[in-house]
This record gives sequence, structure tokens and C-alpha cells, in this order.
Amino acid sequence: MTSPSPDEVTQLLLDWSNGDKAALDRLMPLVYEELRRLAHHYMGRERPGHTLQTTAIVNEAYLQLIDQRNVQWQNRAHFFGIAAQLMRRVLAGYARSRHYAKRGGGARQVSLEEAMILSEERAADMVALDDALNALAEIDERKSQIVEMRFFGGMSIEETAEVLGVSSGTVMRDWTMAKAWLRREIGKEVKNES
Amino acid sequence: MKADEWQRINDLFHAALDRDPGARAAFLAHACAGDEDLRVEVESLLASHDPSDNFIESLAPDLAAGLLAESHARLATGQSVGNYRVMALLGAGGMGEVYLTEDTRLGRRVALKLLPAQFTTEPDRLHRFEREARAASSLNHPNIITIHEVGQLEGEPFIITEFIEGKTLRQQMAAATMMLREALEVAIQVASALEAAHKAGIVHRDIKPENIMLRPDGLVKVLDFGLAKLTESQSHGPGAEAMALASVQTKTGLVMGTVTYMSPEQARGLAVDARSDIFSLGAVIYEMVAGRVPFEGATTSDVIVSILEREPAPLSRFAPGVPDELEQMVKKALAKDQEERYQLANDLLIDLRNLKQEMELQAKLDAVRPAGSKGATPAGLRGSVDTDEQLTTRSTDAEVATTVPSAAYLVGKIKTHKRAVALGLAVLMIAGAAIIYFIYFTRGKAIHSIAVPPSVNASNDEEKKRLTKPETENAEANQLYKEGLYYSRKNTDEATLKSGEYFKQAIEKDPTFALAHVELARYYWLMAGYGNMRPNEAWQKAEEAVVKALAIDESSDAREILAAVKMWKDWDWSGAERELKRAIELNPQGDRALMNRLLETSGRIDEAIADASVDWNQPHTGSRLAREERLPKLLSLAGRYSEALEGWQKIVEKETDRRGMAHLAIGEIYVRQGRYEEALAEMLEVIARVRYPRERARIGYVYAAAGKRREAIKILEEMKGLTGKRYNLGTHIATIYAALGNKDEALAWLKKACDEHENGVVDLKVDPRFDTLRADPRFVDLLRRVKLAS
Repeated sequence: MTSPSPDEVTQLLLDWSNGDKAALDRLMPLVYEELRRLAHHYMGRERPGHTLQTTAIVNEAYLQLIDQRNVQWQNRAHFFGIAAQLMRRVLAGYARSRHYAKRGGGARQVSLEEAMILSEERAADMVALDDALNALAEIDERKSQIVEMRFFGGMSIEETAEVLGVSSGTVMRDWTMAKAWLRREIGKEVKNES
Repeated sequence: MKADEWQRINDLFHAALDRDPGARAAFLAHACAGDEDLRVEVESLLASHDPSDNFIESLAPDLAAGLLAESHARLATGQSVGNYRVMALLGAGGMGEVYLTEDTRLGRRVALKLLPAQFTTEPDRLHRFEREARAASSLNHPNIITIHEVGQLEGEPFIITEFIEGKTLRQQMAAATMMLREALEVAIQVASALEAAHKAGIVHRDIKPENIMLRPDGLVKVLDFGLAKLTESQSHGPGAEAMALASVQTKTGLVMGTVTYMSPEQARGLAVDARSDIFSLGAVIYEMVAGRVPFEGATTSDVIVSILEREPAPLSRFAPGVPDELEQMVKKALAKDQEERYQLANDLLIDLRNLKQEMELQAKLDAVRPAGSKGATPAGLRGSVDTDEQLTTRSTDAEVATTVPSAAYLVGKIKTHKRAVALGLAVLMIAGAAIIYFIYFTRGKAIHSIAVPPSVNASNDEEKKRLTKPETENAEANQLYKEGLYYSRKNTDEATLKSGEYFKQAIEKDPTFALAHVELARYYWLMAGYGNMRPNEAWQKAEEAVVKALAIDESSDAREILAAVKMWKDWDWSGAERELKRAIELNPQGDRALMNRLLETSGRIDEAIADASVDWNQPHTGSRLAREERLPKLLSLAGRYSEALEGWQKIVEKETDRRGMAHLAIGEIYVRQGRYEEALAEMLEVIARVRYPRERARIGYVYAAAGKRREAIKILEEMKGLTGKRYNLGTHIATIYAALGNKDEALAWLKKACDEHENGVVDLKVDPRFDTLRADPRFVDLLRRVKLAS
């Protein structure tokens, strides 16, 4: 894909922060591509056995894509929110396609490295978690967003609070409750399947 | 859940957490003040709370980064590309990535292939590819994948194709050693795809196991026609194409291996034609049979050298017992010199088909002989059916020789029981009509033979000729015909629609192909029955087709369809009966369901029950009235409800896709018995299982009769809305009106149904749903019109 200019991406981020939904659809692939590029790049430099830091990559992507002079801290938080959503899609999408391939549906070819990153069992867990998160979003969208940012985006309590415009205490409380709720839902699902 | 309810759960959860674990239960009991649901909800959340564990604390983020780093996927799940939403990555390779996507306009799943970006730098090439891919797709060949759209996403080309559930041949080979029979079947279908493409001037250029998909139902699909054009080097020269391909692979960091199936001329970068595909298919067949590729090497260059210089080891080295014919075929396909290869995919196809037929016959012959004796050909068999047990079969030999038309094959089974040996022999006519003999032997002597059809004993040539339905000499027509049969036997609307196209094409290829005319006529019969065509028109066409078939050759099937035409189109009941009698004469083992249906519609229910109580032969259960449903239906018409219910119940228990129909019939019987509550309960089982509007319309009748007027009217309106698209609903609409007590509307709809020759009007005389109308003179008029009353 042709490289977008920081101006363009920054404008899209601002538009989206101002409530333009279509801007997000344009923005997502751009951020995704940058994250992927950076992940490739860092992976090549890391020593074997060293895991990549998602937060570092997201930070880097932010610096690369966004013109810092024209944005405010809220926009940064929004950007991190997008990254978290993308990370969730990457993981959940990947887990689903593995899950799917296992049931004989598709023609998924899993490379050795990929298989090492996410075991069969973890892939199934990931699918269950993604489903449960969707269900949670129906009841309480904020809690679902908090899990997305914390778990998939690797964001701290403070950063999450910043994006959502609530206090850290609220994020803490929601996070605790959301975890209990998700654990219970996933437990249910496992029981239903067995 | 209501927001305040959820808020309350939240508050209580946190309030309880603030207390000592020991004090929580008491606190909740008090705070919930008798609201048990609330207490259970919060308790269960508390039980799932574990402050010490690391559930979703640390796992994901860095995993995601790792996956991203490994990912070849340029599209994220959930992302939209035009009208397509990405659901999952299905695979990645040198030619880009394949995603499972949803077409959001049509709500169907399709595959999206995103091609590598470097191809876009040459728009000419992209256009050429697009033209070729579309041309291949437009051949509409069952073994060639259908392309829905070719487009560009921010400069990157993508292709939308049908989504094929199944495995690639590569995966199949990795999972299990292929049986020779399976390998042949795949080879035949790929050759058939190539034959069609080559005829249209399209060369695939990249036939390999990754590009061949196997569906669970056995259909093989060849992917990516024309795609290889994109990688082809502009300048020809030694190794240019192979190098270009290798460089593509290196760039994307994927496993090398595609050179393995390249023809020598392709590997050398020379111009390629259809014969290059034949070579590649030869290499694929080799691998399926031998379990290894014909040309090996540690590096790309080594493989190329092997392709150019070496002869592959004989298949028999890796697959002992492989037929010599196949060895020769593969050798000829893999000839280094194009001129020495098969020149046409069709030639290879014919050889493969012949071998398959021979092997199938051999397998049947093996079944007639005990293990240990082998190697006989059909001709040899006629001379000797001797077994290890030294059965003397001279007498039967003579019989077989005089009674079997020359083009029949002898197959059968031997069963040993104590000292007696039962030898079941079936004489397979070339077109598939089977006549069964059972001849019992004791040691040395045939003592009894049963079920010898009289017509086979007739010695005059004319009679024999009638038994052999002429197949076509035209291989293409035959393939199209078989494809059509495959779809018509699937018994779904969509598949049936498709089958007609194949039969029409088969007739186009060979207008004297009687069987294709017969099946085309049957197709129109089904169209009328399913209501997919205006019945007047469908029956007109069915008649034309069957008359043509009969002009070419008389067959039992054709007579049967002519009988259907007389029943539904002409309402000529005695004429229909005559045709059916002739059909049975021609093939006593043929399907008798239609005769039974004729007895039913003319009100001869007892006769029909007696007829349905004997065992029928059912060649194609899929498209015809199944016998096991005939009997309960007739019993319920005769008012023998408990027996009828028992019959339907058996079908329910079998859990097949006919279960919905059985529940529907049970509900209708309950209505007759006045057991309305039970009837409505049955409908709950039906609703989820209905496939067609006419079935839904029958639910509407049950609702109306059981007093659920509002629901009945809802279905009634729905059905009326469909009458411009479905042409078999008028009689059903009339039954709903009749049950709602609106005689005028009921009769008006029935009259219209008669005007249009809708299929359902043949049941006017017997269908109890019309009982409330019978006394009306207008109904009597209609009965006369369809010649079911004098």
C-alpha cells in the first residue's frame, strides 16, 4: 500500500475524534499497516527468545504516523484505542482461522513460527474470550473497551482512563468486574461444549 | 438486561468485595432483600473473581506483536474492502494471501485473494490476467473456480472467487496416502478443467497441488487460471520464468517449490502452450500415486536441472501394483519434448477415464470371485465363473450367454451359508439399468433361480435393443450429462436449477443423446413441482423434451415422464396409466412411485396402499417420491390415522432432512383428529425445518384449521406476496382460505390454480383440506375440469 503522509493520518485521527465515523474506516488499515511494518522491523532486530513489546510498537507507530504539533493528548489516547482494537482483531482473527482450520473448513496453512506463538489451546481460549467480550459490549460497552485497551493494547490503567475520560479508580473497578464477568462467561461456554 | 439492573449488580459486586470474604454471603442476602436472581448473579461473579490469578493480565499484547511480525496478512480481520468484510485469513503464499470474506451486499461468503503489490507496476499485464481469469471463469465448467469480481484496493489487485470449503490437494496428500482410485478421480476432473480451458485458448501455467481444491462431496476445483501470467517474465531467456518466480518467492519469504511442477520449456523460459499444463498435471499425478515429486533437488536450480535432464523413477518403484497403463500415461505426460507428450488434455482425459472404468469393472469382478482368483476380464468371466470351491457353473454360463445383451457386464456377490453358496449375479446394462438374478447353488449344482425378468428372456433383438439405453459417443456431452445428474439428484432448488443448464448443454453437444432429453424433461417436471417456472410453460417444455427423447429411443424413464405430462398437463388419467404400464413393461424394476401417485389422485386409495406395501425398487430416491413416505400418506388419506402416525413417527426418528416433512404430516393428521394443541406443537418442529414456501403454506393451513387465525393470515399474506415468483402456491393459498372459512376466495384461488395447471390441482379429489368446499357447485365444476369427476 502506498505510504500515507503524516498530515493525512493526523487529519483522519482528528476527524474521527470529532465524530466522523468514516474516518475510522480509512484510518484502521493505515495504522494496521504501520504496526505490521514496525513489528517486522523490530522482530528482525530482537535477540531470539525476546518478546516484542506491543506498547513500544504502538508508541513508535504513533510517532511515525501522527504530526505531533497538530494534536492534543486526547488524540493520542484515541490512537492507542485504535491500536488496541487492531491488536484484538489480529489475535482473535488469527485464533478464529486456526480454530476454523482445525474443524476442517478452510485451507489455513500455519507456519511454524505462528504455531509457536499461539498454541491450539490458546487459540480456542482466544476465540472464547473474543466472543465473551462481544457479549460484554452489549451490556456494558465501556467495560469491554477497557478490557480491549488493557489486554490487547497493553495500555496502563492511567492511559486507559485518559482515552475514556474517566478516573483511574473507575477503570480499576470496571476492570475487576469485567474480569470476573468474563471468567464466568468463558467458564459457562466451556461447560456447554463439554 | 436493563441498565439500572446492571448498575445494581455492579454496586453490589464492589460493595461485597469491600467486605471480608466471610461476611459477603450475609451481606448479599440482606442487600438483595429476597431478589434471588440478583443474589445468584452477584454470587456467581464473586465466585469468578480471583485477585491472585493472572487471567488476561499479561498474555495478549506481546503475542499480538509477535503475530503481527509473522503475519503475511495485509488485511486485518474486520476490515472492509469495498463490499467485502474480512473474516479470516485462509492462507498465504507466493501469490498473495487468501481471505475468507463476507459479501455484505449478498450476504454470502466468498474468498478474496489479494495479489502482491509488485504486479501492479505493469497495468498491461494486470489487464491481460484479468481478461484471462474472466475468460476461464466464464467457461462455467464445474471443475473451474468461479470468479465473481476482479478489482483493486489502493492499487493492489484482488480477486473475489467462490469460497470452496475443502482441502487443497497438497493438504490431502499430507494427511493421507491417496488411493489409486481417488488419484484417478482428481486427475480426471483436473484434466477435464484443462480440456475446457485449453479449448478456449487459456493455459493455466501453474498446475500444482496447491491450486487444486477437493470438496468434501468429491468435486474438484482448479484455482487461479491465468494468474501465473502475472509472474511470467517479459523477456524470454534461459531460466527467466523460473527465476522470476523464484524471486517472487524470495521477496515474500515463502517456501520455494513451485518450480517442481514446471514443464521443461517453462523452466527454460520458452514460450509455453497447453502441453505445458499437461506436463504439470503429469507431475501432480505422479506425486499423488508415488507419494513424492518426480523431479527433486535441494535448490531451485537443482530441481530445474532435474526437470530438464532426468527421467523420473518409474511409479511402480513407489507404488507396487500400479497399472501399467497409468505408468505409460504419466510417462507420456512427462515427456521432455512437447511433441512426444499428449497433445491435447482431452487425449489424456480419455485415457484416464478408460483406466478408471476398467478399474471399477475389475473391482466389481473381484467382488464376484473369492480372494485368490484374479485377473479375469469380463469376456473371461463369461467362460468361467469357477471359484476356489470348484463350483460347476457351466449351466449358468450357457444361460448368461443367451440372455444377456452383448454390451452387458456380469457382476455379483458370493455368500456362503453352511454348505450352500448363494451367488447373486447382476447384469449391468451399459446405461446403468440393473437386472438382478439370484441363482442359488449348492456344491456343484444350481438349484434355483429367481427374479429373472421376463423381458431378458425374450430372445428377439428388438427387445434387447430397448434394454440398452444409448449413451452418447460425445465425451463432452456425457460429462455435461453426468454433471447435470449430480445436481438433479441433490434435491435442492438451486442444484436442480443448475442441472437443467447442464442437460441443455449436453443436448447442444449431441442432439441425439436420448438420456439427456429424458433428464431435461424430468428437470421441467421438477421445475413445475418446485414452482420455479410457470407450470403451463414447464409442462409444455417437459412434453417437448420427452417427445424428442422417445423419437430417438424408447425407454422406461421416458414413458414415465410422458405419463407425468399426461397427469399434470393434460389431466388425462387413463392415458397416464397406459404410459406407466408401458414403462413398467420396459423396466419391471423401475420406479413405481408415479403409478402409486396416479392411483392416489384418482381416489383408488386402497389399491395404492396395497401397491405401496410391496417393496419397490427406487433408483433415485432423491428426486422422486420416496416410498416410505407414500404409505403413511396414503394411510392418512384412508383415515387409518394411527398407522399413518406410526409411519411418520419412524421418519421423524431417522433424523434425516425429511424430518420436517414428517412433523408437518403429523400435524395435518392431528388437525383431522381435532387434536389442535398437538397439531400446533408439531408446527414448532416444522418451522425451523421448512425449506420451501409450499411447506410454509401447509403450516398456514394447520394454523388456520387449529384456530390460530392471526398467524395463518400472516402466512397467507406472505404466500400471496410470493405468487409472482413461485408458481405452486395457489392451491395451498386456497386451503388456508378454506380453513379460515372464506369459500369464495378459496374457490377463486383454486380456479386460478386450474387455469395455470398448477401441480397441486391433481389432488382436488382426495385432499381432505378441500373437504369444506366439496358441496359447492363451483368446486364440482373444477373437479370436472381436471377430469376427476364425471
